[in-house]
Amino acid sequence: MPIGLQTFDANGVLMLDATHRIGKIITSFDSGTANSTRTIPELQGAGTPFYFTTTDADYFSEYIAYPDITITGTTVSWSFVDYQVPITPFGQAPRRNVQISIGVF
Amino acid sequence: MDAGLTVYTDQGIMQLDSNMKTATPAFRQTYTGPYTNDGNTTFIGTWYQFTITVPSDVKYLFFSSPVDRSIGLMKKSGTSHTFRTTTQGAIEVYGFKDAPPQASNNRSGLQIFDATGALVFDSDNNFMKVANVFAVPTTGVKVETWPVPGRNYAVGLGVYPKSWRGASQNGAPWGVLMSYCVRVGPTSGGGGQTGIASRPWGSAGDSPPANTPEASPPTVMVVDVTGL
Repeated sequence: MPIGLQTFDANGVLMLDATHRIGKIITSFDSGTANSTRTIPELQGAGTPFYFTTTDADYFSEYIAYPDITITGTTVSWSFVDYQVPITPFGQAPRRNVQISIGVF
Repeated sequence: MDAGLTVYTDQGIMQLDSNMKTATPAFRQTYTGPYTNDGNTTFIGTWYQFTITVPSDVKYLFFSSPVDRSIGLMKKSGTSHTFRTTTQGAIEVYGFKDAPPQASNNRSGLQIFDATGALVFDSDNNFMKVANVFAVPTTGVKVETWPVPGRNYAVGLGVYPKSWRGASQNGAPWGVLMSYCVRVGPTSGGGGQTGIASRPWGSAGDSPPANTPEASPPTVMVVDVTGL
């Protein structure tokens, strides 16, 4: 018999089955448009960390600079991949603010 | 953990605690059409385009499909989201928003509070259950079988970074728009990078466009949507 926790709603529907591996989101924050880092103390010893990026900005991303994200220990770092747009309107690809969700699995 | 409940499972530890940020179901749609197709298959194969309206407070969007397909975001304008997919037919779309659980009035079940007394878990509330997470490869596709047979899952990327690659056909330059995409089917899900659109790029004899840098691969998240 597996060990863990199962919870059911009032109708008997299985809502949570923690006999299987389940991840969780710990926090979410905006990246802004500058390279930066953030310390997430809750990552300490909490499992395998992961990130998940989303954006609520309008989006047609042929030419958008997104941040590369790394997690080392309890530190989340992000650094934008800048480049020049090769056709009109040329210039540097604009950096896109994203929401970075940090979780453990 | 400051407060809450730690559950030890066969695979490790799960915590329902004050460090948990809850996302709750906020959107569900079965999309069956219409699909449009621009007829261009050069370097990319056949893609079908569709547009759905997603509430503005939805932060996480996931897809499930009874057949294997790729899905990539092409355009988002306000609540209008335009995707491309490799086959027509029904797609289940699930959206979640950041929101704490709502306290139920039932006298049975389980509630967990954080150190400040805020409700972080209520067994009558559904929430975004992360069932698997992994990185998408820069080339090819990575999919993993759904974790538990008999349950329903959906997969999402969050962002769909794109880049242009130069190509040529019969001496004429083309640009191929590469995009990270979800790959989802009845028994597995994941993602990868593939050509999603293309167009002629100048005149015969011109050089193809230089490749633009690729963003790092996004993370695939698989969520358990059983009962939603």
